[in-house]
Amino acid sequence: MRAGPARAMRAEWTKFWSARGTRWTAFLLLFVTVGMTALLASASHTDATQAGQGDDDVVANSLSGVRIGLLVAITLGVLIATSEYTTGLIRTTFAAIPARWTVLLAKVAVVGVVTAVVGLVASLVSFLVAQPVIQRNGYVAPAYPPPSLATEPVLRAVIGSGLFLAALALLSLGVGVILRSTAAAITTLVAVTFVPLIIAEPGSPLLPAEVGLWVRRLGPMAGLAIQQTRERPDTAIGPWAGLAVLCAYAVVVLLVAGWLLNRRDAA
Amino acid sequence: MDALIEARGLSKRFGRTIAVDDLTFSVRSGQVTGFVGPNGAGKSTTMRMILGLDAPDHGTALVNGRPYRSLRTPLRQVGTLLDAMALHPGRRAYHHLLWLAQSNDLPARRVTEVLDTVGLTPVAQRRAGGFSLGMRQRLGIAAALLGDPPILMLDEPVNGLDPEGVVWIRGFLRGLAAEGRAVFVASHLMSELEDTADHLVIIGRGRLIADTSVTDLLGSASNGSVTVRTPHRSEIMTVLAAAGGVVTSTGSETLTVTGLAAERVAQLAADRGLPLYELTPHRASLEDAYLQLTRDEVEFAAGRRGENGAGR
Repeated sequence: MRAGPARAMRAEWTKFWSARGTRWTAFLLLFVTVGMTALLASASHTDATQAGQGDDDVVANSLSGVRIGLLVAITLGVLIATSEYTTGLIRTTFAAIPARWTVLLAKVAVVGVVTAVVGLVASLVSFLVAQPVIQRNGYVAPAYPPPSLATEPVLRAVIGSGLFLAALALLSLGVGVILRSTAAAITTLVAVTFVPLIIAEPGSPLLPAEVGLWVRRLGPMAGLAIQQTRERPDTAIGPWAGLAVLCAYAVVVLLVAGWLLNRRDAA
Repeated sequence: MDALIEARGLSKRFGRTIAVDDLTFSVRSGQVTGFVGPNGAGKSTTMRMILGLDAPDHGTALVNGRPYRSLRTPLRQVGTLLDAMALHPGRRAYHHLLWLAQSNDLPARRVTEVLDTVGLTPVAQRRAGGFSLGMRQRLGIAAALLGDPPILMLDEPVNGLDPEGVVWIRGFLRGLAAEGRAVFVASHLMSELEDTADHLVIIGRGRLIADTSVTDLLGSASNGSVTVRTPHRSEIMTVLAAAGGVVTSTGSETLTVTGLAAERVAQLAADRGLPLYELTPHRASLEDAYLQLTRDEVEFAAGRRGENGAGR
């Protein structure tokens, strides 16, 4: 007899790949991230010709589609939770696996693995697709020496982008469990991700500069810092520290979700 | 006969509404136990509490002597059909059963077996969203059978089935009980359980009204009547009325009597040498017995609603 968590993970894995909606979001995560990266890269341009002239982060710019792809990661994480409630399937799930923490753990494993793997492929393909485009648009040595995947900051940014998408999907799973409504969960998550990206961006007139800086440091989107490969005036937080902030949100929200899941009636 | 499901003092309220009120009963193996009550009587809530889906405010529910939430592979002990609509519409029937099987470490072979049992093999690879209610019911029953459990708990399984399906499920439930399983079936229509149930747990507005065998319930019903045809109508009427029967004349030679058994009517007529051409006992139907039993409860409910209305 397999252990409870192993059985639950197998069941969740089958559930994930046998439902049209969730399977499509996994493919969309790849297509949207790569497609948007290609689009944004083709619109980029620089006149810098000498070393030390420009301060654009060509690695982060080659992973820019992640900022749109994150919407798909949010949807995926939310749907894994809320589709159970909108269809009433949650009662079948809990009747089959009464240990509710185990159910949540299995969902965390499936969402985490799928989004990390797909996210990693998406960020790697994005980087490989965007680099030649960006170089054609003027990002060339000596101002912009070509980044190599074999060097630490570049590799970290690419792998980290996959981890960022996974952490965000897990945060979304937790929010989905707590709110139990697809619309409410997605709205909430878009509010906490896109709104800070807009109102707290450097030079935004909507928030005092100091407040905006702290929002970028301590909001969930601090996780995007994992894409930074050079110090810029708008750098708010270190790469790993930023990703750790997002992970902390995910952990806290998932703990709250599990606690609620365990004590609420299965609606 | 072991009690496989035991509810002790189960109570649950939602806001100000009392859904289930101090409900105690047990479900035994080898028979079909009907769980009967009007819509909103608390049947589904009770079943959800037995499954550990809703937490009772008071009381306990045990399955095989243990709380459901402590079971490691519950599908091997209790098969459940709560809501046939609770499916992911985009998932194929086969995969719906496959993930359930995997969750309880059951072999994939069981999936094909139960699909065959309920007659869904031809549509196994179709998405459940396109299923009729009757097909969904069959899929739900297939899910309940996956773990070959000694206990089955089904909420309104006849809903949406075509006449052929209704006949099928009645025979099917009887067969499961004959194999020694405990079969617990909720229905808001007593007539659905007429030929199926051996035992009845009847509830109204969350409270237990009766926990009785079908035989006892029928025996207790007071409105069994006897039709009598005789050329000596008026003499017989006098004799039966004197013996305590309530007699109604229904024709020049026929009359109906209630309150006296057919045997007693025949004896009284024979004692006086009065010939009878016909003597037909009419057994009360389960439906009549049920209505008689719930009448007070319903009147009380209507009265209470009146009071509440006046108070507002």
